[in-house]
Amino acid sequence: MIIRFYATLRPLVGGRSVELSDPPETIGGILERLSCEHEGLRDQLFDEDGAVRRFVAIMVDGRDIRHIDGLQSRVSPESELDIFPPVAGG
Amino acid sequence: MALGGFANHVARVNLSDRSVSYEGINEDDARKYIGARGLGVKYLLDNGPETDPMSDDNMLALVNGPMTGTEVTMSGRLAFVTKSPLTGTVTDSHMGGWSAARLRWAGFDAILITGKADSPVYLEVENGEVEIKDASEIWGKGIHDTVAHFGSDSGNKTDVSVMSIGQAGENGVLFASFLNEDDRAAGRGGTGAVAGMKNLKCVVVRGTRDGRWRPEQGEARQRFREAQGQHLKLIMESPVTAPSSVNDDGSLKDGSGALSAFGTNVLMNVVNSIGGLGTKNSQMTQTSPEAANAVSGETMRDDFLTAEPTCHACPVACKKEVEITEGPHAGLKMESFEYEPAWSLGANCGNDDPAVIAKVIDQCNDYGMDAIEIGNVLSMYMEASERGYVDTPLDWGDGAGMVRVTDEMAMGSSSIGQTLGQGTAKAAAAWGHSEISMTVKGQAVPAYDPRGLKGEGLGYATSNRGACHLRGYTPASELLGIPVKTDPLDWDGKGPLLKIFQDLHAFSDSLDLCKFSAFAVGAPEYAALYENVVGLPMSEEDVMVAGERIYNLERYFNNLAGFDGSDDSLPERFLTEPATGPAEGHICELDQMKEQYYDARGWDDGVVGEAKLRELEIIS
Repeated sequence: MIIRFYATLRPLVGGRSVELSDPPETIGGILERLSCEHEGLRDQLFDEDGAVRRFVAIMVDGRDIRHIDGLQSRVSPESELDIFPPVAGG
Repeated sequence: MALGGFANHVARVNLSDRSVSYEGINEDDARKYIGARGLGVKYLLDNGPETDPMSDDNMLALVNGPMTGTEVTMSGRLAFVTKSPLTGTVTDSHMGGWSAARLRWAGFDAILITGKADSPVYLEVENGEVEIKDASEIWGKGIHDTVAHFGSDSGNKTDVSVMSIGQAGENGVLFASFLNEDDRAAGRGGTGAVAGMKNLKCVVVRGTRDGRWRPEQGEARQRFREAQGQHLKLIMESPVTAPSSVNDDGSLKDGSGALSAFGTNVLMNVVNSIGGLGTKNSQMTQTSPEAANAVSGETMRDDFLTAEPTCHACPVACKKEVEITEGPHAGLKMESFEYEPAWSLGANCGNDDPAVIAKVIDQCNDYGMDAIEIGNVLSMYMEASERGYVDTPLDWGDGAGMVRVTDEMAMGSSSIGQTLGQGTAKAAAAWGHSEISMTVKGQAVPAYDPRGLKGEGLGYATSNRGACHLRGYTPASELLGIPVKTDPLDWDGKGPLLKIFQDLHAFSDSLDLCKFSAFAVGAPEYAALYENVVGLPMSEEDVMVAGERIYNLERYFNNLAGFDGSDDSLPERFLTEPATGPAEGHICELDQMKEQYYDARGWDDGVVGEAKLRELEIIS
């Protein structure tokens, strides 16, 4: 599975994307594994209570997990994941 | 007058008889309409909503807000207000940079320009006085040369600012704009066309910080500092607006906000990822991740960034200067590689070459043209070409052709350039194919496809100045979650949500603070700043009522100019042709949203009634 990162998250994972073999079946599982493998990422994604930080956008096939099942959102090996820090403009 | 923040000094310039007169601010109007956008629309209403936009009688109003040029963070904004030749509505277009602050420091709240000079002129503004001067030496020059002529440069290194039109305004391009300091545009609505019609080339302003408004010593100063301190603190600490800084190796330091680090173009990838990025004249709603990334803010920072200038009193510094180092545009240094033109000239034109985008934006900055409209008029031309509607086709992604046609539009040097220079809607209509014009009330759509972000669809349709994302920035909710996260693919509830954004922005545009402040602060902070600068009571509720009043004032103007609910529409494409990508199958449910919106507004089919006008004290 290819997971794409953007903006200030890219330096933390060393590039534009990360490939994950045998990915967990939920977004929560995937983020947990990524956070273990990439120093500093956990702090950018999660608050002290373990919830996804406000304004962080995690997309599964273009849908924000806040409109699916949150960290319990299920993914398949074919899913496309995009992870954004707080981004805005106009 | 005792209202703080204001200079209480307005110039009325009649170019026909070359007279200048001065007056104070009308205190009742200032209380009701706040300043900048709101006060500017009131001046336009008093000038007559039925005025022909391209007649001598149309007014071009440059209006500051009470915050402009103060110490308040993000207060470097100025409104250009006129009746738009592109839309026929009232329009206001704001610029950042330093000109706004300098105009206030030179002693002015507003300059109201009517009439038409019998030869090219410019205005020189200094120490509370305006002089009308001969512009024959600079007529015909681009904006970069005009700025250089007066010795102004980017940023605050001199005490001179130049707000100018380029050749596009002189040649009657209906989406011509004003720019200051080479790259900061009041881009939308054709303010530059109105100036060109009046034979007005530019406004040159001299002013130093000595002329800024400051609170009185003592308790008032302390209260102001507390209000400003809270405002600044929230901006500095917001994960969205926090200033960026770099380590010795050039990498971003922890805590850098993405808007500051990457500019507005940090939106490119996220909007594309959800299927909200109009592609090839909005025939699709998503381009490839590779194409989006190639022109994104991240790529700009990695490969092209040379400097990060800022506006008056702003720590965010979202502006990015870039240099193109390879290819036919090598050596080009420019600013304003913003999200909007990166989309309009990128995915919208089937183009993923950042050098072409940089080149055409710079052409717009020099000729003085709206960089949103230009991408749309080009993409409409490309679709017309693909469908065989024109004899001289332009292919998708033809970068050299885009540059050439942009020249022809600005200079009116070809038949196709003259047609396209009338804007997307008129050009498509001239070819008998208005269905490929992605416009509302004659103005082209911005970079959020209404099928992938439905609140924006309603926003475009009901905007008082034609298609616009900045009247009510619902992506703050649909993408980020400010004030709450809403589903971009859900239409229900977007009417009342949009009204909140429109009213809040109408207030901040009238202060005049940068709209990006709304990512970190809101009505409570705006109210506190107003109270401690202007010196009048202002609650959070008052902020929203004042914003509603200003929005209704604009609507009242437009109603008197002949607009009603039938003009609150969207191109048929957004209503009937389903989206692609993650929003696949979605259309924009405009009618349902409009019903909710009009209910929230208390309007009858897009018309603000007498009872609402009285309730808001617009009429007595």
